[in-house]
Amino acid sequence: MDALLTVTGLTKRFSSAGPPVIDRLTFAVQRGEIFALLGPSGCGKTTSLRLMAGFERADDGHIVLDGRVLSGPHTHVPPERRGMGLVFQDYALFPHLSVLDNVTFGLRGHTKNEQREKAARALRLVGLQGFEARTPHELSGGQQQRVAIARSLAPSPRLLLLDEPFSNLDALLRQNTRSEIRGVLKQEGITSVLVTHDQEEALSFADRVAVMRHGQIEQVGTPEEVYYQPRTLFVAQFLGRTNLLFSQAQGTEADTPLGRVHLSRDARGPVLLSLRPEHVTLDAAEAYPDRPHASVIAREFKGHDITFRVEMDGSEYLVHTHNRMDFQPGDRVALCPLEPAVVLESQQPPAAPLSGVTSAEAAAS
Amino acid sequence: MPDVELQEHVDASRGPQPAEPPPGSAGRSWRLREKLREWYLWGPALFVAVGVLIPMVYLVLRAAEAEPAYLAALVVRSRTLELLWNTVALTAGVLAVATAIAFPLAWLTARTDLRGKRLVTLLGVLPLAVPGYVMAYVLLATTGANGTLAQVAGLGVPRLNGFTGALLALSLYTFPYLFLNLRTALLDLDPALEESARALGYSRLQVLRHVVLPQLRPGFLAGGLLVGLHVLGDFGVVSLMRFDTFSYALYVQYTASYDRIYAACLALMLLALTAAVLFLEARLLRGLSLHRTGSGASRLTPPVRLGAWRSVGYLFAGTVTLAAVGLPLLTVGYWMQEAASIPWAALGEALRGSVSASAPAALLACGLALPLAYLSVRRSSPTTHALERIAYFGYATPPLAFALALVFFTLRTVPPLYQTLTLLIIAYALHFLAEAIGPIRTALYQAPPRLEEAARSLGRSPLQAFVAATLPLLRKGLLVSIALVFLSAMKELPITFLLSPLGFDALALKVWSYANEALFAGAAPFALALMVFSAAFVGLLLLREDR
Amino acid sequence: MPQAMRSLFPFLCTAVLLVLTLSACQSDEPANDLVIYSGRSEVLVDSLVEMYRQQTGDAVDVEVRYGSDAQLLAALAEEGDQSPADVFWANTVGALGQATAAGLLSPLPEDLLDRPSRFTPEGGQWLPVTTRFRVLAYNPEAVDGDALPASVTDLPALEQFTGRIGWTPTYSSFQDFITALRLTEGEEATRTWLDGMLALNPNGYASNTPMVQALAAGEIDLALTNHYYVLRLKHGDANVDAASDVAPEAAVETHYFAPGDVGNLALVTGAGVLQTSERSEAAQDFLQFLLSEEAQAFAANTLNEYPLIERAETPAYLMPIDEAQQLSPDFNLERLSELDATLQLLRDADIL
Repeated sequence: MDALLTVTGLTKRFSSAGPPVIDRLTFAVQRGEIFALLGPSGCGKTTSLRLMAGFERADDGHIVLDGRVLSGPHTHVPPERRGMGLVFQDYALFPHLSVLDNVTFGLRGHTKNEQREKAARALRLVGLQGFEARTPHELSGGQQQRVAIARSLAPSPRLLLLDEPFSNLDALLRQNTRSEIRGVLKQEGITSVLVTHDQEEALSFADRVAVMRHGQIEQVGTPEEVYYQPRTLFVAQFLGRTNLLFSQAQGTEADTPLGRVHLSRDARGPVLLSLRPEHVTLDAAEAYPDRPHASVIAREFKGHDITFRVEMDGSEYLVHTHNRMDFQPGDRVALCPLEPAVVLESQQPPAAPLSGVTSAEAAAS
Repeated sequence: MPDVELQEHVDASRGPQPAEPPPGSAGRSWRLREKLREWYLWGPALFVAVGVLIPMVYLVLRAAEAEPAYLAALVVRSRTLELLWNTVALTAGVLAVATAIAFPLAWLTARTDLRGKRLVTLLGVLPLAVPGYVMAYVLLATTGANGTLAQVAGLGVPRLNGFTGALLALSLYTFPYLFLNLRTALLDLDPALEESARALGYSRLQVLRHVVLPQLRPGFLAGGLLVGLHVLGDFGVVSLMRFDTFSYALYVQYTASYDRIYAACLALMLLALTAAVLFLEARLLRGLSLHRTGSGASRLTPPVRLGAWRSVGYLFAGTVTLAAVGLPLLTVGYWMQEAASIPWAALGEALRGSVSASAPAALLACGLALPLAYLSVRRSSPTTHALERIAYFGYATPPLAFALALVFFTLRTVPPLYQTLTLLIIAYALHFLAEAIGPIRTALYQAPPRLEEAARSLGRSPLQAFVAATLPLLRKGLLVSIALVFLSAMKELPITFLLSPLGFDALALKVWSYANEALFAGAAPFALALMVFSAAFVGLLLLREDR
Repeated sequence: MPQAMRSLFPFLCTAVLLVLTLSACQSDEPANDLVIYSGRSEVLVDSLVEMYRQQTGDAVDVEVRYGSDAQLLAALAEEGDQSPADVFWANTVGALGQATAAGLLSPLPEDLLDRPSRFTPEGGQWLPVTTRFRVLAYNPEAVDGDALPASVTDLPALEQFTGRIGWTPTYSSFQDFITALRLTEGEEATRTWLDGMLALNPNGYASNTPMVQALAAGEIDLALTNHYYVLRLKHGDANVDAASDVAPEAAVETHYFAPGDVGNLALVTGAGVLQTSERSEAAQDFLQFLLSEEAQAFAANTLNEYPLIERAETPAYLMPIDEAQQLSPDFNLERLSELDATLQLLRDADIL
């Protein structure tokens, strides 16, 4: 595995006075990898994408694709010479051209036959053979989306950039399209960078995820790493609902409002811990006389699992359990961690003891 | 959520930020290099700026020849105030009357189930083919105790002149500028907005007032600006109707006395007034979002059923058509009857002359307007906005001063260009550029910038990307621009008088020359040819657009 | 459609460029043309020019630029020494005087100037071609012609015509008349006359034709104009085939003031050769033509103006030239170039 794309110290400001929109961004994308830039709106992920595509010019830093400097202090390769494919959120299909003309648009320099072949192949990949003669407004949203992907795949780009490509589709279609497109990309071994604000999309689509905030990357890792081992409070909250525990750490363990828990790494002193709802389970209070007890506030049966809201010392916690757990609101229960709690890095410890459930929405706001 | 993200993107790509040079000298030289690389945008823009500023420099030079005391005595007197008041009153009046004609017509053709809407639309544009001085002559000839109306129909209408006459004549042929803009705006309104307002308990009339009218403001301002500037600069109608405005006083100075200095002062005052109008328009436009936020084309609004009111609709459309198109055609036809024979040869030559100058001018104006509008929409910055505004000064510079300035500067810089068709074409294009910018700008706002980026990412250079992705979507706007400039150039007098090549003949010159000597029968064939040919040309263009 | 557009657009661009280049090349023609800047209207004098073209045949290519006197003067001034013009042919002595004062005209040879003895300027820079007279036109249905005053200076006393008088303050002939009034009656008297006229709330017209038509239409009762505007309305032009365009029965009559009154002022049209001309012989030949019997008769018959040479025929409805000349005051027309003071006067009175 070697890096196809390396971004080093990339910086962009839109006004000389304000803070940079992109602040010394650094990451690498491996050959054949699907890489996601995930973050809330305004975090600079779209600007990063436009910098990579060449629509914006960086103030500092380098972008190197396959050993070729695309962007540097004295270099700015225009978008058309970067060999990158780009899929837009609103697809940006040319309304005056047929599906076939859209797909062959990037194939100038090829013979008519080659164009036809490559377009047919791209359309076959996305499952749209037979639609060549249609115009974009005769297609559904999902089909337009596929044409957009076929169009950017046809010229065999070295890197595919995807800007929120699934956000205009409805929920069911989104999931199906997502897994199909992922299949195509992996099958063809196409290196891709996805930009999204949807953590589920990033986690399910990408091989690695970079979580962005304020123009910087907070954490890079496989979906499992960033989900289970969030480095910061922001990452923990942005990637899903989690229980935050303000605690005193003593080495490998810590005292928390839930009692003693194991830690993901050694720590001492006041720390903030994250414990995902599925990493906790419930048991009858009587079974654990020495642990603090909580009471069930609500029970939400969701078919394959159940979400419990429990209350302890004025704070609320979330617990996802299997679907046979039959505690009811009002029951006294004990909370039992199944995994070690993750110690979050924090530049400054929270002023007030902060415990309880928070969610991505809270982090985003 | 996706909307917010989109918004962020849009802000990033078109906010005022890119205007700020990035820190360091590398950034500055990059900007220059970038501009050089986009020579096809900045080159034409620079050409326009220079071309339009030349007349202003000329006027300042001329005005500066005067003794300051003499100048002060000329400018600071009660007559200046009177002229100012008359000019403002006439402009406001024409705007009001033109709106009263244009808005109902636009609504009828855009939003109702009136039958023959395409025909009514065409008829709503055709008055542009009527030259102002012909309209004025027609109104003068039809009204009054001995007017055609009194003779033919026995209608004792008082003879139109002064404020009322100028108001009516100007409104009757300038209202299409408003009509076109309002109609487009009405067609582009998102019906969901009106429907949600109705659902929130607003009546039809309240929806009109609170939802529709505010959204029509950009269209109204764009059309109103053209009408206003037209009135400011018109001298044909005000001189025939005898109404003292700045442009009339200016006309008098240039044609009746030989005082170029006072004329230059008046022209500068007129330009100051124009600057005020442009400033006002910019202020009113500020903060208006011109983009549709959603993606793709919005649904068509279901037409309003007129029911029994339909006949009222027809009556209105019919009356407007009769007054603005029928009256000139009938009157000129009536004059035509008295003509002993039709001078086919002269007619042919004049028509050829008119078209050989107007058609290239329309294309050139379009070609110049495109980069200007593109810069202003896609490279939004104070500089590009200023460049676009400059075009409006060209429109408002009195044509006579414009022509004299070009005489002066051409002979001092490129003498071989003097009295050539090329110079005439360039002069038309620069003078009427403002008419071409509006429709192109509107079309550009509706073509998503993303398309060009998609084309770039598929290997096209910026210019290629524009040609392949955006240009096809501008077709309608380009056609309307060509039509507007063509019509104006066909009618133009002072510039044609002074800048045409020797031996050049044009329909407008013939009409004016006969009509000025009251030889209406002689003028009739030329006037008729001018109107019919212009109308046919515009009809053809608009039919193409509809397909 | 998009395909068509794509192929259409470059085509259009090429077409424009082609037209531009082709027309730019036009100016390289050999400078063999005689270029006339004519303040006289195309409709009025085009056939005269055509007549001259026929006479000269291929020897000279005659090109005319039409416009108003002032427009052409302004153009000449802006053109400076690069002007392509050879002849300046003007409607008014005022314009010719301005051209002389600006040093645009070159002196003409004696033999040319001898022909029309009267009205010839002392400096000899231009040649009078035709004569016209100032008159008061009235609508006989509303006004008793005999009751009209003997002098134009008495007009302000006609209070019964308040709001019913037409004049053309911006028109050169009117301004020439004011200059004459100023020089014969004095500055103060002219100011008083203007104020008196203004008190009658006169209707200002941009040109004479609409004013005379307004007179016939009953919009006004009196109009200060030139003699031929009345004749042209009633008799049209005798030559042109648009003969039906006349209204002999039109309610317009001419009132002459007492002989020698400044209201009957004689004015001339004229032409001169420009300093910058490189074809002054051809230019003088054209001037010669303007004084030919043929051209002079044409002016009388078609334009209803008075010829300046005696042999020319005149139509019957034209008052004999001798009579007309007796009506006119004795006034040195060259002084009409003192226009600035007149304009000042008109501006002070808020008329301009």
